[in-house]
Amino acid sequence: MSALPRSRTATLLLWIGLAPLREGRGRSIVAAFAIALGIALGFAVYLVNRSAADEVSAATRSLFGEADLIVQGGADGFDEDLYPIVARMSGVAHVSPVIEVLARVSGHRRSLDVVGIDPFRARFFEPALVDTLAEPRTAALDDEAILVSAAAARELHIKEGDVFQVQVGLEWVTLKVAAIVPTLGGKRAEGVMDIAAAQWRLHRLGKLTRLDIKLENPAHIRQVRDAIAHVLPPGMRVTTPAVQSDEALRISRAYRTNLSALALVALFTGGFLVYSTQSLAVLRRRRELGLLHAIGLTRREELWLILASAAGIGAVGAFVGTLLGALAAVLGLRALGGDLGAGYFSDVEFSTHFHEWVAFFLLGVLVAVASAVAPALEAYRIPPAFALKSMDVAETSSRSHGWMGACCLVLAGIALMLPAVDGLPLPGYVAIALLLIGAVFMMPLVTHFLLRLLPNSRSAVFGIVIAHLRGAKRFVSASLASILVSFSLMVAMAIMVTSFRTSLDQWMARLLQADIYVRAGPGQESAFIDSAHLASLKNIAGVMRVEAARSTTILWKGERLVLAARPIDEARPAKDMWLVSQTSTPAPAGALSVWVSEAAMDLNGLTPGTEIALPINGRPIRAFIRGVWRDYEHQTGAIALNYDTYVRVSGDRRIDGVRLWLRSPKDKNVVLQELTRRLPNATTLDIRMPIDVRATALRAFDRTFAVTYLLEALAVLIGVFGIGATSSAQVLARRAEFGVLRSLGLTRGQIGTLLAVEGAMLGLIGAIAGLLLGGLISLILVYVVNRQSFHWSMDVYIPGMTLGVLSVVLVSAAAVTALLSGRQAMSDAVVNAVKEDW
Amino acid sequence: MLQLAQISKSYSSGARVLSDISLSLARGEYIAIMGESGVGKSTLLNVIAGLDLPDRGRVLLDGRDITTLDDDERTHLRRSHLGFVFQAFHLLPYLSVEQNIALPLVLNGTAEAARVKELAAAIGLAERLTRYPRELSGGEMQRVAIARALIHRPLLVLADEPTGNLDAESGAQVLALLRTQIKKCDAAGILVTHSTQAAATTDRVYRLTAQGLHPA
Repeated sequence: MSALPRSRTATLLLWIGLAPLREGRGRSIVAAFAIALGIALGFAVYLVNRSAADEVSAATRSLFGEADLIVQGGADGFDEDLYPIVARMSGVAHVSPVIEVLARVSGHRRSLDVVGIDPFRARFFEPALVDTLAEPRTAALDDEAILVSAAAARELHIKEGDVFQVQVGLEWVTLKVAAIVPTLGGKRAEGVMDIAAAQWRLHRLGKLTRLDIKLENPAHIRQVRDAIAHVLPPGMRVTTPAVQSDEALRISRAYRTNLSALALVALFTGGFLVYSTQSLAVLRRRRELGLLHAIGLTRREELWLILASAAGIGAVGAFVGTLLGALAAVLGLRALGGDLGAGYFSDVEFSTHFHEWVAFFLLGVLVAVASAVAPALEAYRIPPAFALKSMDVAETSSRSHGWMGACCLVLAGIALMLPAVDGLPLPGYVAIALLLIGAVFMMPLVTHFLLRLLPNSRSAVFGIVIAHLRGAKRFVSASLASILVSFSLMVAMAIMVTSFRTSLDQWMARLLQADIYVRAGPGQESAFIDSAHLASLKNIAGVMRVEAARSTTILWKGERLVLAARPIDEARPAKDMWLVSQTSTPAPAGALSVWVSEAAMDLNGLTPGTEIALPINGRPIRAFIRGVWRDYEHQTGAIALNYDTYVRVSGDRRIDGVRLWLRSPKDKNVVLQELTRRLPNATTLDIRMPIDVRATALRAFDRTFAVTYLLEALAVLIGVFGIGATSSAQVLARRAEFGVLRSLGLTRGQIGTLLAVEGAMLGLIGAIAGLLLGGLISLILVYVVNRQSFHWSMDVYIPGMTLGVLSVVLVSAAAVTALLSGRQAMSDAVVNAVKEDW
Repeated sequence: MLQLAQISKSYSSGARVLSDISLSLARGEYIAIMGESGVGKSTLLNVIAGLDLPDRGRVLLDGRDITTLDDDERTHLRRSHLGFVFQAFHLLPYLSVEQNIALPLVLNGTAEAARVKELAAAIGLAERLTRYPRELSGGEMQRVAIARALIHRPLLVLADEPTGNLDAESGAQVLALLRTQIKKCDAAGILVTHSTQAAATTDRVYRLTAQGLHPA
């Protein structure tokens, strides 16, 4: 015998291995599409996240130039006397003082991030910027001159030589555009002024917000940092640009991680669809595999054949998925920004690397191959003598794997007891994955239990359906895997999102008790309202009561915290805040009463009943934590205290929020007109009714969750594809059975009814199991994942109507897809299958 | 070439199916095994093929005791030394007639295009090499299966009720073809059948009963 060319042997074996893909082209395409969707979503979310992270890192590096260390204070900055002290310290080569102000721009509902620098000092840190300043047209930066970044100029519709106004307190300050420059200190800085002009014009005389420090020898960074930290007053910190970059990313990290997890859910569901497809292919090819083993194909070679066929599906899906993912990332960045709608970043540019494409392609192949391992091992174990007998799918005995399911549930329980990893709820996600895998293992037992509850029917069609489902638990379980996974996750997400949205709405209803809200700007902005204007508002006819609020940022043990000063009845604080817990221990004499948000408690270890030193106005103030309040506003943590107390200890009388209670709702329009008249520049203030505030917040919530809804819908779509794929596989596997039934006299319509009822029954079992499993997963999302991600607690609300409708849609979709994919079973050709061997 | 020495086997339920079976078969010998349904004829074939292992006894194929081999070794032995003909044909539906016949050659890593054509001509399907199983009659499918069983010149051909799904005329043609080709290849052959006419086409007939295997 001559040796067969190796290529021909390989080709024929490949041909045999890929036979199920060709034979069930539709099912294979659906499975590949599921992998493609999963990879596309995962790749898109990854690319957007990575592009955003790169952008933030680059912006941070650019913003701080070549600084080795940075000294920072709270929102109000620190006394400039600190500058010469730090500059003279041993090991410090250069120090560049910086003042940074977020200035509200006239005629716009946006602020400009204005940075004031000393060009002579800044040249050691940002030579390029200083070169710009040294150009003839900008060299003489007078008091009004400002350099504006091209992006900000575009948004504000200003050009070189234009003048515009920014708000400081309730006054307007005129600035003149000395030049438009492509970028300024990264994308964060939008306007640059001479530091002395900025301090004077923006009412920050004697104040700085930052010192950029360059060391003589960067190797001594730890010693110098410790020495600087020693001379800093309370509420200040010395840190590095890298830490700044981490902080900028940390704010959105939990959100981005959750998006990634959701994208992986789609891939996970796609994996289960490959599992279903391969399981059914193995069931259907049992005799073929038995024959191949009998005539000389080893079990290992059989195993490789099945895995190769799964790898084929995975490769096609992953290839298409990476292309779609990159496209989706580009479109997502353009349409929704660097965090896909959450509002953390803007102007993020798309970038990608070849190794990322390779990694996600391999991930798709890996998921497909991993999903086929169980079916391949099953084929591996089929006794060939048994397989060669002419047996139908329904006769296959089913091993329940209940013990593996139980193990997964126990491991999930253990994972739930573990703390978050580096602030991310990874154990929670692991627990969810284990629950899903465990549930898939438990499906034969659950199916057996549910089918036992069904009554025996006199109807021939219904009787056949029940008998088939009872006799083919393995088949039913494989069919249900992808439906169970996708539907349970959809249920879990629906419950979690409803819980979050309803909790947010109720929180706002409790918080927004006044009739009108006036907001000057966030704490770091230059805009505010003074006490004289506040007093004048009290005299407006129709106004019953006026309250002031002030919000600023402090550094507590180096971490940023919002200090929210608002009217709080210290005797009955629950009236003004949604208290989650409070201590019964009375506050020590001389200590302020404060309440911390859940995020402040989780992130900063601030617990009720303890005394802390709050850095206010550069000095430590004794404060006692009376309780914990629910706060959906400040993700990095906040401390609330009574407004009057704040004014007393800080001397800060600037107001950035005013609440007005009216004598009668009918007075609203009159009061609004009077407000506009009495407050200068009132058109730029944020004046809203509670209903508007709630609507805006809920719109922002829905925009943030829009992408999650999309990911969720795609996961369900994959699950419904699963029903179609498994139904058509089922029809092929049972051609002989349908042939017998047609021969015995069942009409096409009755076969169609049989398929539809079977599909509906599968959908019903999937819906019941999915509702139970989804309910369980939603509790993990609410109490573990969300709490660890965002440090927000919420109450559980079940969207009964939504879940009911979704269940009905699932059962109907299952019936329809089973019917559509089973058209072959109703054809005349199936009668011939009785005589056929295959 | 084939020696069975005191083979016994029970089902997992404990019921004994083969009891103290012994048999010797030389190259070129073609025998039939008859017996009632459920007596263990197919089980005996599975044991001979190494698809199933006996509880006791030895199966010597070309001098090697296959009961001492692991699954991969038994598979490789089947690949090179055995040919199978099944009642249900078991052709791969997505391979053409030519590819189905050549499959054992492919698995053995050899190629003899001329032999495929020669065997196809011998079974009367030379003009149908590019056809697929679904385009063939039952008799034609079984003839393809016979060609597949002999293409790699095996030592032993095992045929389990090869005419069970065929009409009388096709069955007679298939049996004649099977005998001719086994003899031509100088292989040994075992035909398991219920049919005395089929058994009559072999050299010797054995009857399998609960008491053992005996010449009829």
